[in-house]
Amino acid sequence: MKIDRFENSTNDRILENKIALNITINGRLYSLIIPPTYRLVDLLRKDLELTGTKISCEIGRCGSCSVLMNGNVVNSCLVMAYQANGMVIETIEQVSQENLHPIQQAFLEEGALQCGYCTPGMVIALKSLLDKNNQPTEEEVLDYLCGNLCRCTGYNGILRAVQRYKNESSAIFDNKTLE
Amino acid sequence: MITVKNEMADIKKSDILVEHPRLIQDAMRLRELGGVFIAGGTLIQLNWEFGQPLSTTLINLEPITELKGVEYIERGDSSFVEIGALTTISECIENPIINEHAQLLVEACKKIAAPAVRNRATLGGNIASGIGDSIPALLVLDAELTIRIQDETKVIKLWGLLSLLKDTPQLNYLLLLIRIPCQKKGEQAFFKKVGRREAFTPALVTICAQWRRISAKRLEYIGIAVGGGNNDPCRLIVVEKILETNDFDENLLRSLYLEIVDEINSYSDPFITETYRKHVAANLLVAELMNIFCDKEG
Ligand SMILES: Cc1cc2nc3c(=O)[nH]c(=O)nc-3n(C[C@H](O)[C@H](O)[C@H](O)COP(=O)(O)OP(=O)(O)OC[C@H]3O[C@@H](n4cnc5c(N)ncnc54)[C@H](O)[C@@H]3O)c2cc1C
Ligand code: FES
Ligand code: FES
Repeated sequence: MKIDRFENSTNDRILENKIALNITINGRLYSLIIPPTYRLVDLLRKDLELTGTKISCEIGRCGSCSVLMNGNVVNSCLVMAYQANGMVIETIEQVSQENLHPIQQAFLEEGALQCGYCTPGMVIALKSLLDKNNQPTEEEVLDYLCGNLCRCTGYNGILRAVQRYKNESSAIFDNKTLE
Repeated sequence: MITVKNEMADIKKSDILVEHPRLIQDAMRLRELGGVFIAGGTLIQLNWEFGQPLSTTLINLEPITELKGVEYIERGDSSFVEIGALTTISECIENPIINEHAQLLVEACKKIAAPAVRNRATLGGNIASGIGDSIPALLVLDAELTIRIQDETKVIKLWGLLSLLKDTPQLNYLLLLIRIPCQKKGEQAFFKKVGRREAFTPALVTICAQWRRISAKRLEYIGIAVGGGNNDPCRLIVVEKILETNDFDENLLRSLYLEIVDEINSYSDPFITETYRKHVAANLLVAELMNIFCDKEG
């Protein structure tokens, strides 16, 4: 694994109050020297230019900044640098590194996005649900997405995309059992 | 630059020091020097964004291993679930011991925020907030807390801590453990949270109860609590007594309605009046009581 040494652009501000942060982001280990309360969302977007993760409400209410931390969905606007120390972070850039994730494909096919601002957060939240349970009920999906707001789609396209994903992954499973 | 919309204190968020004590006594010492405990930090950050003054030192509780874990404990005829204060709300929902023995707490946790917040937010932080949605459920479950005050470890009922905090809001205490007597056979419960939207808003009011029936018209026992939003969470002791000492009929229900409205201590804000909140709680409880007594098999 490659280790990057990275000096924060906000370096000059506070000379004393910094911590050494070791964090794995999308498979790369970074050793950073930054203020302990620096937010993960700022680190991703401003310093690492991983702008796929969006920011909107900044208080954990909209879900547009969702990332996976050790496999669990979290709001990166509510995670401070010291809390991310030693953690493994996956952002939307990692989810579609080589090919689109099947849930992203289903989003495209079902028109589950309009402006697309909420989409990275939706995909991250759904990935975390589907990794644990790839045949969730509609109630489980709705509960899981209750922290991800979308202003455009009315959610129907998003629910259709999850249904398509479920149909396709159960078809793959059936074919495998037939073989 | 990381600044917080806050005219009250001239502290930048990036100036805040974070201490990482491993021992309870070190955490307490830092608290006495003026630091603020932080667990998941979800509420603290929400409050910062709403302009609450920043503290210069945060005392990160995460390294204190004693505050972690969930255990089932049997002592004589009694059994308990013991939950470390740092247990996250998600862990409470998933934990098999809590699911088996304190289902009402699981129901309450499912109504707190959304999965991404629940993965960070802790049960200890929810209780220490004084207004968390877990509190009414824990009041009904008769939860007992192990807390540290100065260099003493004490066991106190949750309602006892809430009333202590009313008199001394600045009390320096660290919540270590939450102990819940296991739910007994035949006990049933409900948890209802009413908000302005279906999901993910602060509660207008939260109401829950646990009961055991002895006949179609009589309850052997009932515990009822109201909280949510900025309501002071409390048990409805008078209403509970009336229900435990009378057979259920329509007249009782009518007089109970007025008693419920009377016993709840609520508040008004720019959107919703105290009276409206009280009536919502009373309507909810009366509807649930109808369910309890109409479901004669239960
Ligand atoms: C978007 C959003 C939605 C929310 N929705 C809800 C909701 O629906 N219902 C609800 O109840 N809450 C809600 N909250 C508030 C909050 O997330 C929860 O109350 C959470 O459980 C607090 O836990 P925490 O570990 O994050 O607390 P922190 O923010 O770390 O701390 C909260 C308070 O408790 C103190 N504290 C923490 N741990 C201890 C301890 N062990 N001993 C003594 N003091 C301690 C801290 O000093 C602080 O004053 C929401 C928050 C957000 C950001
Ligand atoms: S920006 Fe983080 S949840 Fe809205
Ligand atoms: S597609 Fe625009 S916010 Fe969801």
